[in-house]
Amino acid sequence: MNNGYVQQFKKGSLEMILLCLIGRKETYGYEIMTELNNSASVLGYAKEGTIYPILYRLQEAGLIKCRLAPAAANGGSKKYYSLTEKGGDVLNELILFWSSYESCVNGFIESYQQAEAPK
Amino acid sequence: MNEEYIKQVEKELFLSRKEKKDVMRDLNEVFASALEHGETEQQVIQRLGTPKEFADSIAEQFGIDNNNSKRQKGIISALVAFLMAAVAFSIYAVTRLGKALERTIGQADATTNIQIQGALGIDVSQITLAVGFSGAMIAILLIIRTIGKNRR
Repeated sequence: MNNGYVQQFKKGSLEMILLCLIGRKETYGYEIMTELNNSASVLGYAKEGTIYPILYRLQEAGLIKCRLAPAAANGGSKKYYSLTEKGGDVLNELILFWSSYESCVNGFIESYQQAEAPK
Repeated sequence: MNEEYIKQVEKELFLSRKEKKDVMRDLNEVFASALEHGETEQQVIQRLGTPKEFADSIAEQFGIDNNNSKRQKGIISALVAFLMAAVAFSIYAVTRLGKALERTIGQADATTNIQIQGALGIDVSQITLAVGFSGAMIAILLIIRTIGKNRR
């Protein structure tokens, strides 16, 4: 299942998922990607081209912040992301919204299934 | 191979200098992390898509239409070249007019055959004319190129 409707769901929820991942513990780009690929296969294969743009937007909005730390392995640096205070607040609001959204959608699904059942 | 890829992305990306620098640093980390985890450069590039695709998806998040910025850059360069041509041509016209007056002797209406040789061997007006023509050529080329990109 990979049609436009599903794409829309994914698009809308990916930001919240990233906020959750970053809020849990400080993390970096590659770790976010592997995490998504290991435990969220329903979302499809995560790519840098999808993740980084969202990270930039979340950072622009002041929801996440980052610090650079030298990376021993590659001689370069790694960018570690964490939630800002504002990011934490927004995430909590989003979580609240998500649960009422979920029960609302579920309500419609149940009413549809009940109507179908007698047939 | 990844240096080439990163360079291409940089070329396709129209952001402020600071934003661009950030994106370039992150892209370096993407390659470094992936290699560290045993991926090949080829695998990473396959995942990222073409440099243009990657640059466009990044620019989109900054609220910039990358293709539009590219177009604007082309239009601005064409305008500058066009202006340069116009200035050069007008300088040429003015100097020519000045010369024509100088060359008339005894304030006669028509120019005489007596030419006043400039101190320099080369004629300044010819240089301005050349600058004018090349400016106009560049302007036309840029306009053609920009329009060509629009269609794609």
